[in-house]
Amino acid sequence: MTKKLDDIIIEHQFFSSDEAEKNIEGRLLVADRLFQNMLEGVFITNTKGVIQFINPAFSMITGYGEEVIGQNPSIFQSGKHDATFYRSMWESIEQNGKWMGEVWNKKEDGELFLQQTTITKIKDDYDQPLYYAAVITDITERKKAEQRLKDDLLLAKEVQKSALSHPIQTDSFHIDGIYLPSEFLGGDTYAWYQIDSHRYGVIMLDVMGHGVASALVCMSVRSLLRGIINTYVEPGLVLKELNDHVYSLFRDKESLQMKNYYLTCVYAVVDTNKHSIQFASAGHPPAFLISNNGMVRELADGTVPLGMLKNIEVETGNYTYDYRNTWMVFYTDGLIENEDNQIRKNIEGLKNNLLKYRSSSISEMMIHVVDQQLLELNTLAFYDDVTMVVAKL
Amino acid sequence: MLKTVNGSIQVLEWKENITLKNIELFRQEMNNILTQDSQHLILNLAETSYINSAGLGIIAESVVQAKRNKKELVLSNIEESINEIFSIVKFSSFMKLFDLEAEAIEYFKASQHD
Repeated sequence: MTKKLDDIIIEHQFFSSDEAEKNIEGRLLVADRLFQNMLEGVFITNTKGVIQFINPAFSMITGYGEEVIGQNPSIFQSGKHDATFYRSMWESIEQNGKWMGEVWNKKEDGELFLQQTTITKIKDDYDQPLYYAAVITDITERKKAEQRLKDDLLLAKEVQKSALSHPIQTDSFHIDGIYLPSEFLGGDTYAWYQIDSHRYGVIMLDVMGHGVASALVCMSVRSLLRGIINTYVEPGLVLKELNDHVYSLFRDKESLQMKNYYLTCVYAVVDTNKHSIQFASAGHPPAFLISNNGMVRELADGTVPLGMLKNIEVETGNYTYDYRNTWMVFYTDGLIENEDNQIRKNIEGLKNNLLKYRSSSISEMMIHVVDQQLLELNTLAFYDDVTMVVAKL
Repeated sequence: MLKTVNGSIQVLEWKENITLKNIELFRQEMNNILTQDSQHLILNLAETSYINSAGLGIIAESVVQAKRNKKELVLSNIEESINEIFSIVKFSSFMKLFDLEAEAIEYFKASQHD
């Protein structure tokens, strides 16, 4: 009669490292139980590649039963991999004793499936190969789910892009933007509206954080911009109105474990008759007014990021500009942040790059500046969205 | 680490950057200092050179929460890189920032005499 497993473990110090105390019978029993009950499929071949053993999970996954014993695993081949693939797999097994990877195989009923596979070469005490053991998991559904998520993210990025305003080009006002979303979904956007015959409202937002939630917050605010800007026009009123909206978002939904969201933004009303700008920022990196003579003014009047405080005081800056010789530049922190945390140095670098490329058309100017700036930031990965708007006034 | 100075002022000495990795711990520590009996609270950021956006949010909310409870939370030992961020987000418009912890303590001492 087989002993109870618990008894064996207790009586014989089953897991002892002491050779003398090893209990072969117990170990074999555990190995067999594990083999029979594990969720991963296992098949084991001899050194000639002939299948010797399979476990129940293997049959569950592939539909194959005992009839595969005595056959070669090539019967599972899906035809999706070429000879080079199998050759390099075997080279790895011979060299490293192991191969891990994903393989498309064929089930008993002909259906193809993607399996996560680990093949291990099992050797005896004299280093001679005895068996090859393959442990497999069906990851077809997981891969499909991952792909669906990727497709959704791509679609969401496209939706975000489609919400961006299109360039305007008149004699007195020429504006364009550039938006490079990071790998993850981000929360940057920009928009501009013609308020009346000679005034334009220009805004850029950056919802702090990344991912689906930030992107949705961004789109939720985005949907309000036209109405708020056309109704309130003045920077102080526009930012207060946006703050009310962001502050109340999710505020009473603590049970959903929602975090609070904040966004930074810059907003300007450009008057092309008076050649004047009303400006306010909400915790956003400074905007620039660049003159043809190389002078750069930093615009930083404003308030704290939106959504942080229930009530905000907004300081508005009033500027005038030299007609036909001024560029107004908005950007998000993806262009000035890197691991060195030297924001001031990076802001100065960005100003220099803008000055360097200001003689190009504004769309070329943005492409060159962004390329050059990202090069100088020397970030290993594209962590954040990169967004820039340039208006030639 | 929380310490008491001058009998009644509570100081939280936060000694690393505030990132995704430790943001929950930072939130807990801030909640902890806010629940202390003391009215006078200092967040000392001497060894912090980066704060992520969630961290900025926690600081802002803590300052507001303290005010709501008739307390005051001030910040001290702000490094240059943090100072640049604080200046962009205009934190000085609604919280007191001190170069040194001693100055923050002096500020509270003076207010006690009022």
